[in-house]
Amino acid sequence: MHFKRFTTFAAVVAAICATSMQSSRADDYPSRTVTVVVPFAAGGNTDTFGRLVAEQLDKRLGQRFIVENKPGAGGNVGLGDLARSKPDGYTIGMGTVSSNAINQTLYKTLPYDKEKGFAPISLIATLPNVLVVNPDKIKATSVEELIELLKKEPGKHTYASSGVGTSIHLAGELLATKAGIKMTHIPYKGSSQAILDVVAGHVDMMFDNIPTAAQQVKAGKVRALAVTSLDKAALLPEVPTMASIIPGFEATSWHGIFAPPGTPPEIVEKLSKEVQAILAEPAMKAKLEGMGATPVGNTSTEFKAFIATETAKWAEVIKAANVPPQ
Amino acid sequence: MLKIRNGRDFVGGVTMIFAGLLFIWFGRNLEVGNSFQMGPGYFPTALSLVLMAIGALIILQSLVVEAERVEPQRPNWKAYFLVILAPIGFGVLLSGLGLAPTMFFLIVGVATASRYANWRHSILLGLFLAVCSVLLFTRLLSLPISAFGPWVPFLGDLS
Amino acid sequence: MDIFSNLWLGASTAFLPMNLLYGFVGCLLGTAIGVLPGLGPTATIAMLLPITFGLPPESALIMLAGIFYGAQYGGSTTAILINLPGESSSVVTAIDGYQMARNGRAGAALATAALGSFFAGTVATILLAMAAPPLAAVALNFGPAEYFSLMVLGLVASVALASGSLLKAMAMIVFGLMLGTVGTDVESGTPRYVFDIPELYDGLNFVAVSMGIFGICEILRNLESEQERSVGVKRVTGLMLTMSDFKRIIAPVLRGTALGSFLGVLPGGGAMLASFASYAMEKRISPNRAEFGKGAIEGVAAPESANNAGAQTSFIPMLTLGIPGNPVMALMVGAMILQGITPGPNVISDEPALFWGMIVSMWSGNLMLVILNLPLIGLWVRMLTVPYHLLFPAIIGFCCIGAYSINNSVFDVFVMAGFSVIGFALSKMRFEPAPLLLGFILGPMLEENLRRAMLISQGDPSIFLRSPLSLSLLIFAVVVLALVLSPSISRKREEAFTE
Repeated sequence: MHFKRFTTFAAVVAAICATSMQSSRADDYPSRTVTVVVPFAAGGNTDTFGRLVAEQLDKRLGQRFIVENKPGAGGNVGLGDLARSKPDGYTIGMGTVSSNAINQTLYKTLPYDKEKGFAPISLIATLPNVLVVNPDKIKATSVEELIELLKKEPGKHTYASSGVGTSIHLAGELLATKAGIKMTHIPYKGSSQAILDVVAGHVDMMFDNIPTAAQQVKAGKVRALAVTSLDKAALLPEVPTMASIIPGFEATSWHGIFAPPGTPPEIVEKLSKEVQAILAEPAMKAKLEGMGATPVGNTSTEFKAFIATETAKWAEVIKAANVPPQ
Repeated sequence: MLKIRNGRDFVGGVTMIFAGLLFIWFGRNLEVGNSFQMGPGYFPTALSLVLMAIGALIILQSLVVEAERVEPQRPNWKAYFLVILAPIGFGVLLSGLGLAPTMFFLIVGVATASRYANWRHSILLGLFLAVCSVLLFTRLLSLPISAFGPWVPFLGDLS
Repeated sequence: MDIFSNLWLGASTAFLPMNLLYGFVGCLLGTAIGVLPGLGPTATIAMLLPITFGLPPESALIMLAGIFYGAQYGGSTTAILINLPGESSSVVTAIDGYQMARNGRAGAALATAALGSFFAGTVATILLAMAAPPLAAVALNFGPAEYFSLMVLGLVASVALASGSLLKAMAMIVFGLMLGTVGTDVESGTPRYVFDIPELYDGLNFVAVSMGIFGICEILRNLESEQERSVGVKRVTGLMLTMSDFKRIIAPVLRGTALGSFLGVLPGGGAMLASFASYAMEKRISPNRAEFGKGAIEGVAAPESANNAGAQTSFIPMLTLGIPGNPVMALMVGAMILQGITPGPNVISDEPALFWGMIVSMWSGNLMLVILNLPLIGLWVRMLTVPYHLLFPAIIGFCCIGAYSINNSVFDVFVMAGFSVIGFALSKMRFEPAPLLLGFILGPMLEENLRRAMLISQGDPSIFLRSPLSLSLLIFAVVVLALVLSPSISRKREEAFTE
């Protein structure tokens, strides 16, 4: 009796293993629902990008792509989950500059193997930050004037951020090290509270993600001095780039899609091609550009190299700025 | 002579002091800083000290003010054990068994905590809630839990 | 008049049959899901967000707003019926609401919540239509120093929540503040009390703590004293409010609405602060103050109207400045961006139909909620007559799923279990849970704003006194503190004399 049950059980286990091995093959992938882990809360930028792409993957591949939000610890909780899930292509996830290039240096321990990392599928979009100042507090109308002011009054002026070690904070640190100035960092929990205090004049300036900041700029609540992408931003075409003043200055927030380490390369390749095709669609492009983002879409190898440069760049900034490891 | 007049409050005060010590101990590596430049440890340490002071006052009070006599409740260890264990069991089993079986076992298990429980009712309730929660949470709200997890033969791998 | 043409424009959007339908569906879904333990507005909206993707922007936002009010109301329902506040702002409703339910007056408590909320919602909507921009300017005046002083006032007022020993209430507040320090320190980025558990980096989750300390703990207490089959609830009397009930709630509703409308504008916990500030106020000035904590109808009317008024006015920073004031508003902003609208200060002029449509729909949403919920009261109350040995396993089951759904992780289920033990032990020592939860919510805001203000002033504490707003809040806090302490001090003296 017991033995019989055990054999049935073993047979079932074998069958399950067999089917899951089969389903790892690329040509019939995907044959069931795919989970897209978003390591941030619903409603944020990463979530929005993830949902937009998942919706299209759904349509193109004929299987459901379900978004699952697993927020916590700057994306580490969700990525830990992603790393632990079976590398069969049925669990993939979103990642950002913070979770996949900054946390590597910032956190002492990560809930996954730092060396193994993830299998990058494709970069989805980059989102420039824009340096905004409160017009009553800071008279400077250009980055040059601002630097001059900050050199004259070191440490007297404040800049807000969405938290220690976020890309918004590190953009400020990057400016401080590159221009050799000193400002006081005022961290907040999330960027909305931070920009509110810049609008109100409690804090002098901040780097903020472009869509929300552009609205404040257009309404004249804050003054935009520069964008942090290498090219000018479509939403703020009259604002110069930081790189035109401080060569090489780039601090964009980017969002990409990843698979757990060890996912069969054919599946990663297939997904990467699909994501690239989705991002080349005019409707999708228009939607992302409307949000102030630059749609990208690249191969796994290109994305991997990109992450490596970004990780090295931010590690340097973190070291130079003396941000304590968490 | 000092006499504990209110045993409950005495224990309460001691617990507060203990909680304060616990926070100070686990926060011993946090930098305290000073009132003008507060470190991450400043606030928790200051609060722990305040809590310990309040705890001491509660103890003091328990030595002075007589407790009102209340009929002590007879502890129901079986109920405590089951009700507290239930969520833990839920958390442990959920990913393996899936929502439906986990919910069923949770309900049937925890129902026995009541002295009015009977098996027939519990099993029916368990089945009913298992079906309801699957329909509501996995079908309608698409919560990312499957109805049957990988530990359940045959049903488990169909997601 | 400008305002009328605006409202007319709004009405012509909000009263489109399609939008009315979506508003109704939103309220219905919000109530249905919000009433499940643990599923408050944030979780409910996050879950239902994808449903709105295919809709036109106005309809989507009207539906989301409906879900928000519905879930908020649903949270109060569980607070009253099973002592389970699904959201920070219904913590105080649970105090007297649950006692009313135990006295057989669950119907009256629910009706009070519904009517109070509707009245408050109406007033707040009118306020929103007439004075949104100036009110937003008020929100901008609150910098870190002012917030800190407001939080101090809130803490002082929260002492008044205690129905028992003042000293023990203070211990609970401090303990709550300490629990609030768990997680990554905002200013330095240092993790505190996280024991290398990634899930703890963002702190303990309020809903999980509250479900453990209120909901599960209550079940433990009930099972202990399980004498009858339906636990502790006296015979249900009268579903509706009596004339004397009406007279008793009018003033608290008015005061609650005023307080809620104002505090709701402040980003970050304004509505929650309003709900318990109004409770604390009523407890001081009500002629029936002796009944507080034992089922006073004022103790439901005031916080419920305050929290609903606050919920409406919390839209102000989002709609006028484009800056979300709380997680729910952040979700709304996310939804707007997905719809191709980036909220900002120009939404009023760029998208007048959307802006005014939403404002009018707030009122119609509140109306629908009352129409939907008054008949449901009978049903809810009947739920209490379900034998307890069938009811409590269901509550535990739904609490577990609710805790899981917060972050889609079982960690919060364990947190809930842990806090049911802590809550139960504390209740054995006669410590009350409400002050603890309030400390827990206020703690992080208090610390963050204190340290942020000190950072901005470069270590000069006079920043709290230089700002007139901050100074007056602090003076007010001192006055309240004196008021709170004076009766207990004189009582202590009497006790000392009699001894």
